[in-house]
Amino acid sequence: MSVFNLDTLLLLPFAAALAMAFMNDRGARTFGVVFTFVQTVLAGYLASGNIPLETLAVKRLWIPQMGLSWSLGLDGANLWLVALTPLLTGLALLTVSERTERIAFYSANLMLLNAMLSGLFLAQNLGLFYVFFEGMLIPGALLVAGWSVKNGRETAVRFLLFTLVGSLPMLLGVLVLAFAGWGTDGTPNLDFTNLVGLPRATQLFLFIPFALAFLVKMPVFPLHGWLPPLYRNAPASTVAVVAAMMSKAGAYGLLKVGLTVFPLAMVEYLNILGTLAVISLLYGAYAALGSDSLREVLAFSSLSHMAMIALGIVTLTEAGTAGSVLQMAGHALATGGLFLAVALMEKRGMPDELRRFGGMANLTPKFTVLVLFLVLASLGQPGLGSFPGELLILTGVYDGYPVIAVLACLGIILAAAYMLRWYQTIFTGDLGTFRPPSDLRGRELAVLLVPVALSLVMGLAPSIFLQPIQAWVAGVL
Amino acid sequence: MNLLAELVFVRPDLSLSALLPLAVMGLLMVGALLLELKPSTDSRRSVSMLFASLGLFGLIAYLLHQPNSLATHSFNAMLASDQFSRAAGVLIATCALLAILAGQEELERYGNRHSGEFVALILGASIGMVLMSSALNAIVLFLGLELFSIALYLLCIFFPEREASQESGIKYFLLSSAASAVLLYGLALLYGATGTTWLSEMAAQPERLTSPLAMAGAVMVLGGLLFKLAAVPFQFWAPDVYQGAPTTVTAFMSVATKVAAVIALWRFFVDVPELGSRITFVLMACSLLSMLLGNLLALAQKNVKRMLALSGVGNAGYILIAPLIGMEMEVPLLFFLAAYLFANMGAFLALAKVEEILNRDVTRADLRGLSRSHPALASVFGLSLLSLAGIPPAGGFLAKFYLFGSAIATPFAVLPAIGIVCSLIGAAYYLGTAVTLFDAKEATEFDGLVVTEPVEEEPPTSMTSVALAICAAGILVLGLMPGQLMSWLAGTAF
Repeated sequence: MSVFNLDTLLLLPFAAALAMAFMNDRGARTFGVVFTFVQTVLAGYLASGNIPLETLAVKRLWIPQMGLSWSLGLDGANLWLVALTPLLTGLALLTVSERTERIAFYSANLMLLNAMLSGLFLAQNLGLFYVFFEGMLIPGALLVAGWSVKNGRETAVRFLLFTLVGSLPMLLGVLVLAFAGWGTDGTPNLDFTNLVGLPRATQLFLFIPFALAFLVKMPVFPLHGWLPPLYRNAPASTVAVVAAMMSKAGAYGLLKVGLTVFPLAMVEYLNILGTLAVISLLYGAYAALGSDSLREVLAFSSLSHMAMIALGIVTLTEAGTAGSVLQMAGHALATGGLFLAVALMEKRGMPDELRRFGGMANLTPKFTVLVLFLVLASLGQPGLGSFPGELLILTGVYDGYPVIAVLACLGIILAAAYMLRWYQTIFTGDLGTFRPPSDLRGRELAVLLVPVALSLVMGLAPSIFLQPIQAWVAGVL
Repeated sequence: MNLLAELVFVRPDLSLSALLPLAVMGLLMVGALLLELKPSTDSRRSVSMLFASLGLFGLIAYLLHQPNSLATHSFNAMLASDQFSRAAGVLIATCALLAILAGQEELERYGNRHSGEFVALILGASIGMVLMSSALNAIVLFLGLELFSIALYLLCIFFPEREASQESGIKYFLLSSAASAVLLYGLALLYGATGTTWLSEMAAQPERLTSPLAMAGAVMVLGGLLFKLAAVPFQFWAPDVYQGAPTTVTAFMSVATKVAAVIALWRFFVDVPELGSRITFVLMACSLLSMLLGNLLALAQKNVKRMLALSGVGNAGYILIAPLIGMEMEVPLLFFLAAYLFANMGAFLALAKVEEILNRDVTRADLRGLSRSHPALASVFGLSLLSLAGIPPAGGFLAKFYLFGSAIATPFAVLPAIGIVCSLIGAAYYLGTAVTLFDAKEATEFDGLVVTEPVEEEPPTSMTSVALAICAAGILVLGLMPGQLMSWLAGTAF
């Protein structure tokens, strides 16, 4: 068996994280960047279509008494997430400031977060999925608690509690699925393939805790209480990975678990979920419009865009669902890229209050151009990454719910308003009090060029990305 | 001649397998005392501790190597050699091993040279606990109970120069003696109702167990055992006693006592179904209230040791789910106890270390930034708290998964549901504390401690480090590769 398999893909980052914890500061970061690069290339190779995806699936016994197995698989739903997670982690590692304390431990935690997320996306067993869903809290909380600008402890505890309020009820759901005797032969078995076709009443009842967990993780208004403080206080490189990839854990859960295990419940609760998503979409946009904090605008814009993804999933149409899967990648590149930009500028002492900015375009032209691309990508400019996804989502929504589609369009218009206001305040007009000492150089340019370039490819040739997604969506719906 | 013919040689009912853990611990105890007859001049090297640790390690390895499928009894059916007694042997010996390894530093801290006595008392308590877990006869059970209780009274007060230690010892002595007396009286009433002290013979005459006399006896026995488990409504002693006792002793008693008490509870109320069915409601209420009260009170605690003590009350509530349901809960219960052992001992022993560094009682705020000066210690502490909170990949997660999951398809499904709500409350203080360890933004007390020597933590030979490493390894093995232990506990080949 070749070493290019899913086991390697997942064990690699875990081993790297462990090794990095014991390295010196400089070595750990370089090692981390190299390893995420290797992981990205490996994921890209597996995803490239040279090997049929079904042949990659891995299944080993882990704890049969509890229905847990080491089942991994790659399909249209997780393909791009699996590839983007190490890529964004690597870029985030490159933006970590040299002045950060204990860089080795910081990088190791970021690597561990990458590993947990990769595991979550690859898992084909609900128990294993849950292990990674909870496991990612550990590096997440450590990063926030140890390296936040301020209020690290409070932010981390808030994040943990919000997430656990969602995920512990989900544990109860997992336990019921494992032990209440729905397995094919009465033994616990939590493989997704084994959980297909549950009775309708069971689905309606058990879906509630799962939906709660995913909506908190995403997050969706009014369960988003952990998001603003975390995005405001945590180190920017952490936020880049959290906003780009960890937020997808919730959306991916809704997609994967919702569509495979609870399809009937998804139909039943469509209206409630759709309403929540629209409210969240508009609320995020509204809050972003009114904020004077550079990071908070991005935080609420992310909230709003995640709601759009949720909306696409719950429409249960082929266009909407495929659009959501695509948009997960598009949003990861745009929002991830913007927070990477924040990380690069915060190294130069950038403040958070928007009123201290102005006219940066004259001082840092290269930075400005790259950020402009990311801003446009984020607000759904045609030709960039978010456009095809959002268009598909809106098509899907419009088919059944024209009113909701109109409201969602309003969200997109508002997105243009707050993102452009954000861009204008920072980069145009008179010079503000914050004057960056230098523009981006060499490696830093590359950090922003990668998401911009990928976003362009995704915007200009979305069919490359869409093909496997559509195959998967056609299979589940 | 005739007389001689009638004389039948009765082969004594002696089986080594039931006696082995007791005998080995007894020999180690005597050995430890003899070795310390001449106190060594170098207090860092205690021969008795080394001797006892190696012996216990050998015992654990031997027991784990033996197949666990047979269930026999010996000594006229007074001692069992079954799944429970063997698992209790392994778990209690592990507790004793960890306590003995880590006890060295605490003894040193108080300038106490009596390490031989410390080791002997821990082993004495362990013998009592294993005896209680193996007992099939009420008198043997009480013998075990008293044996470990007396040893624990002495251990609580082992550093008499500490006032808190004195208070703890006296409190535990007075309250625990009362509980023992209640339990003994309950046993007497059961004997009065059934005319036997053998549990199996009690089970064989269910009609006699329906009398009010037997009911009163059962409730008193339950009360005595709940006291040892530190379950509601007999939890009030735990915070004070745990806080005052030497932390190593607290670590030992918080886990090992629970193992012995819950197995005794099982033998009384599951193996004698007539007794169990009559106290189901009481036991359920105790379990629910322990979970809720323990976790809520722990949430409000600032002192870390009291917090862990009250979290132990909450865990007693989880543990009680198993005997309440009975059949098919053996392996989930034992697995939960194993995971609880490593997590709880890890947390207490790490706390003992922090107490030594700061030289006083530790509050949650004191832990801020420990990871900066003592990364390894903070990692083990954090991992233990993670396991107690039930977050993967720590062993505590799978333990809860298995225990709650096995209970969810039974009529008692409400218990795991409440258990999960309580886990959320638990997560608030366990993880809140764990996060504090890694929060290092502001200057902390520990900063001053590392200025002179940047990375140097502790000499690597420190036995506490070994104990903490064992705990960390145990937590991770139970969380990632629990297959072997689970098959051993279930008595199936692996």
